[in-house]
Amino acid sequence: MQDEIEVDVAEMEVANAPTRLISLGIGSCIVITLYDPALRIGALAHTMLPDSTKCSQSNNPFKYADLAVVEMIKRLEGMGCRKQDLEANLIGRANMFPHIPTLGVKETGEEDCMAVKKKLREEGIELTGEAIGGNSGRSVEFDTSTGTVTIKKIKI
Amino acid sequence: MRKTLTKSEVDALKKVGFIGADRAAKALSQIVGETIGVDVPSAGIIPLPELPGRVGGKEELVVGIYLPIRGDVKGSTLILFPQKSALMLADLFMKKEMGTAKNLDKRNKSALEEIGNILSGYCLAALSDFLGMELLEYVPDLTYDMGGAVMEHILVKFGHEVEQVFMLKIEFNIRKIRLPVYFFLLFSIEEAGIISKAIKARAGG
Repeated sequence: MQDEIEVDVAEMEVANAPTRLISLGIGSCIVITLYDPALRIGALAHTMLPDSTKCSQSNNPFKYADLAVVEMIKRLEGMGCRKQDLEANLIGRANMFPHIPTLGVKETGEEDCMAVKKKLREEGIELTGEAIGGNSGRSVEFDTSTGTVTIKKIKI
Repeated sequence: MRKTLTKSEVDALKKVGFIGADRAAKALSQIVGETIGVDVPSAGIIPLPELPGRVGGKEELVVGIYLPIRGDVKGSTLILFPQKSALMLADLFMKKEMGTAKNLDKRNKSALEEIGNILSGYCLAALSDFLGMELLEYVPDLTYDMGGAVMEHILVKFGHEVEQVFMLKIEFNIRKIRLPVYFFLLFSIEEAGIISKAIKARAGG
């Protein structure tokens, strides 16, 4: 069993306690964690975009937060987890260059994550924490022993 | 539409990058009163998924300057200074001993914005001349944060329409200290096709 697994962009990993799932230097990506506290199994997806319905299709569901949630639930249920027991966290969707105007839709981290939050609600999964938006990069460490999600930022 | 450049096209862009960086180095030399040499050790196409880990550790501090481009094509450039390069160049610009700055404060940030403007200005002008296209700079934005996060911005912004980006590694040489700076050209597939055609016409295929 590995101590630590790094999850890169458009990837997803599932792990048992005591493995830590990590993603480093998250900017505008959205990291989703799902945790079963009874079985102590966790999944972390490092997705690029919040809403698959607004983009051209890709073969990789882990590019999109709303699709990633569905796949993560499938994997965890396959390992014996119950969907209604799962706890979720959302991290990321920072805008590293806030002064560059984006034409069209206003992009704020909070508004953007509506699709994935809606998906979690539809699946009956509780969102226990979120750290989204802002202009700073973050690193995430998800400890499957406890379900704790630790977020690191570089303070300038 | 071809998505990759041939070796001779990459070489042509590398030369253009050198011309731009060299002119920028000369301009900077005049400002700081020190000889600044320049080298372009590498250039090439990078697949987008490889970007985050490409210029050092994902948690390493970098200065990223993002510059939208308009004119005959629409796109952007990103200039990335690894922390050491950023701090030392800022010191130089502020006429301080290199190694003085340990962190980027308001004044150092301004200095880096200036340096970024000079570098992007000369590089884009050189590219403009080479392609015979008008490339106009819009107002840039600067961030000082984790390298992975800065690269992710590119990935997310361009990820669903671009597969690769053009990267130029520039090295400034000051008193035998080599300071790398990375220059990325970011265009959507459509715009990249227009540029690719222009490069082919001038690089001779």
